[in-house]
Amino acid sequence: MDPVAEIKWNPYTPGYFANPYPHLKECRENNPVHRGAQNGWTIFRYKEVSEILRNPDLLVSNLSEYFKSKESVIFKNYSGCPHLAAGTSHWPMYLNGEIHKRVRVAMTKAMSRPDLDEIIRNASQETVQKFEGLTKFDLTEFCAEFIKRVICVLFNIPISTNLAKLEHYSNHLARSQDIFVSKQEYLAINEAFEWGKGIFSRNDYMDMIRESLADLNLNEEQLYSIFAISVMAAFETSKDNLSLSFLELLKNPPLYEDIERMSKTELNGFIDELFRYSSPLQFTVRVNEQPLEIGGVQIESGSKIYLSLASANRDEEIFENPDSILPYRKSNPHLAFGGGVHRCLGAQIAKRELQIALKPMASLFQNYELVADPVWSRQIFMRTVKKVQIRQKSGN
Amino acid sequence: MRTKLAEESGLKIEEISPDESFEEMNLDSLALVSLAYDLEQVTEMEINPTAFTEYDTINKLTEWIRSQK
Repeated sequence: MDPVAEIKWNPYTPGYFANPYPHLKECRENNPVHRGAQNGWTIFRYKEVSEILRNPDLLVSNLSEYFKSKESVIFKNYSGCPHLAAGTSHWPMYLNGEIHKRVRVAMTKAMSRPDLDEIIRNASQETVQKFEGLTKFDLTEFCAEFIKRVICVLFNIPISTNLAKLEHYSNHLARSQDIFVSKQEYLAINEAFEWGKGIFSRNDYMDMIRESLADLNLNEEQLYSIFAISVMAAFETSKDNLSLSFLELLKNPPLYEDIERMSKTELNGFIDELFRYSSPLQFTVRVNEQPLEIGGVQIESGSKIYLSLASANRDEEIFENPDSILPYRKSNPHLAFGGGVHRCLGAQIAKRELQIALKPMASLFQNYELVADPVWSRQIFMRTVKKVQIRQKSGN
Repeated sequence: MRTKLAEESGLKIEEISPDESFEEMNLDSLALVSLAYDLEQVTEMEINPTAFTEYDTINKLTEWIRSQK
């Protein structure tokens, strides 16, 4: 028996959280379609991942229903209010059909503001000003501060809101979607939902959502769930992409020179390359109602299919030198934002954040260096770096 | 550990054998992950949920934990 052919996806492979790519590569090359953890089918090649994303017959799973089915177990000896099912009820990435379309359109409309550039520019300037005098700081805190300033304006959250609490909120909501989450963690996530109600208030964004969805007669819990996903989605992946990207710049100083001399168009290409390389959303999930053949394998109906976006983005069949950041990469059909009807609705905002902030922030980080190895979160679906200590280079 | 397993599986503590595989105790993935979390607190070690599949009885698991300390 060939041991390599038997490779199964295992996110607890030593070193995975620090760098999942070697293990993903092994899976992609030796067992690109197989049943892995939690009895889900895992797909690693770009070809099959993009095929499935574009297949209109495939559905997303229902996170809220999952929580409904587990609530009696999770909240067995708990005296508080259960928020997991209610708090996730209208997250668009877990809705199918008409309701998905309605929520998605409402959120897209409410997020498009004519003053977005100004909001991002102010947030960027204020954050750089806040940190530039410091001899040492945590890169992840810098990135979180920047995105916090953007979302506080977008969603009318008081700027005085404690950054650590906001990060905790966003991170716990993100984690609710992951696999291998314990009951104890679910309870902490539940507390986070409770906390979030304190920052949920009337604001322009929610007013537009209410207006767009008026005929659906959503109750306050359901509207809160839309607020919750808006905050989490806007905060978490942007912060993660920024942290992961700047970490690479710090490890790879020659990239600063490229950034400095790039035109706007070249910069846009570089930004896409950073998304491909960092892939903060490492996996997305689909469910097949009918039997499906993919990569020569038969998948029975009702299966959970885990698409490794991160692996697809490193597929050498599509991307030359996939494990390097090529700042002038020409062809870049990356899947960091997914694809199909559920393609990330915040993609334009995420790109805009970098288009405005990358140059000034890169200028700042040129004067800094890594102090220690980064500390990684033990998260599987959404990759987060927890701590990146940096300090001013000597001689500055 | 037998207490926690009893809680999770609904079996009585006396019914749990140290050589019985966790699979036979009808523990779903959520139960196993939660047990791993509890074990982490008690042992002050990093315990991955996959440990329950790799060391699939109480005896195998405790042996492994001892060897890591």
